[in-house]
Amino acid sequence: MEEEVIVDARALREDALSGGERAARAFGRLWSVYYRRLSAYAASFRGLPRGEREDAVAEALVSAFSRLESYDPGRPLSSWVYAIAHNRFADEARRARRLSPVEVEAAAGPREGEGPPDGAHAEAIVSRLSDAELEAACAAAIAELPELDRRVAALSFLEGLDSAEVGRVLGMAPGTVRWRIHRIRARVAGRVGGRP
Amino acid sequence: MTRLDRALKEALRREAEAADYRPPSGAELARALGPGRAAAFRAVPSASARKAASLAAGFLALYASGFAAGLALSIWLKAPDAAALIGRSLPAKPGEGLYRFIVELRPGWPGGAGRRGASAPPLE
Repeated sequence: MEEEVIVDARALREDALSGGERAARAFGRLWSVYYRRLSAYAASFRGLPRGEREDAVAEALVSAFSRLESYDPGRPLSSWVYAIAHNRFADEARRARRLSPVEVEAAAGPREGEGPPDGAHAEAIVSRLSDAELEAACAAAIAELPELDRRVAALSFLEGLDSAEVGRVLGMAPGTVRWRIHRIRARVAGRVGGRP
Repeated sequence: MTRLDRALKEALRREAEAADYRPPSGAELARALGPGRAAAFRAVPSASARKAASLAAGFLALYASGFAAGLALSIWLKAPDAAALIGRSLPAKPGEGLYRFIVELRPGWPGGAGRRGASAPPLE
């Protein structure tokens, strides 16, 4: 996977708009960098059948590329691509009438009386783990994450977007995003530290 | 980024890496490039094709300009034989279009030419 490749968003946009072979190569770059990432992201839309994910990812990338003219190179390319993909996946899932109830509470934050998870406690627990143990705990915790937290995790930890950008993609307040990030960390710590 | 965050990133990266990959199809490429840009892409598929197309265009331009120059020169010199030769090479039959204009009417030439409708002497 080429997830470490830094896409020069400004050059990508210029190449896309120039047409011809330059545009074709630019499309190949966008595709190779984002295809697998978006496939993994699509998996967090449980209403989207596995057999339809591939087409949804392809459609999202075609759509993103053909709309590059409207992309502002001053903003992160990832959040822009993910926002298009997110809408596409949600539409496809909705069309299949298998939209998960989690979509309804997309912007939901902490419930009344529910305080922020203790980040320092999580860090203290994971500091006692070896790299292998921590990796296994993270993989297991991610597999068990609710759909929305899984999307937050992908955008935040994998793509490195800040809470405002994650919020733009998912349609939620930055504070809610931060709270969910803390909750994800606490889940991992809970798996290995005996605290749910 | 904390150690936990890095571990989460690595787990997510591995998960994405495990996803199936396929390259884009030609149809997806054409849709991404849009009608205009896709047409431009198809018209110029490679550097060698571009070179070949450029050579062919140059040859055609040279041929056309040579033909036009020869025709103009023969008319200017009032050279019936040269004009007739050029006229015979035209994709037309006697009495039709350019052939008639160049070969049969021969404006300004001796032998009855010089006014529309006048018949020209028979060609060799």
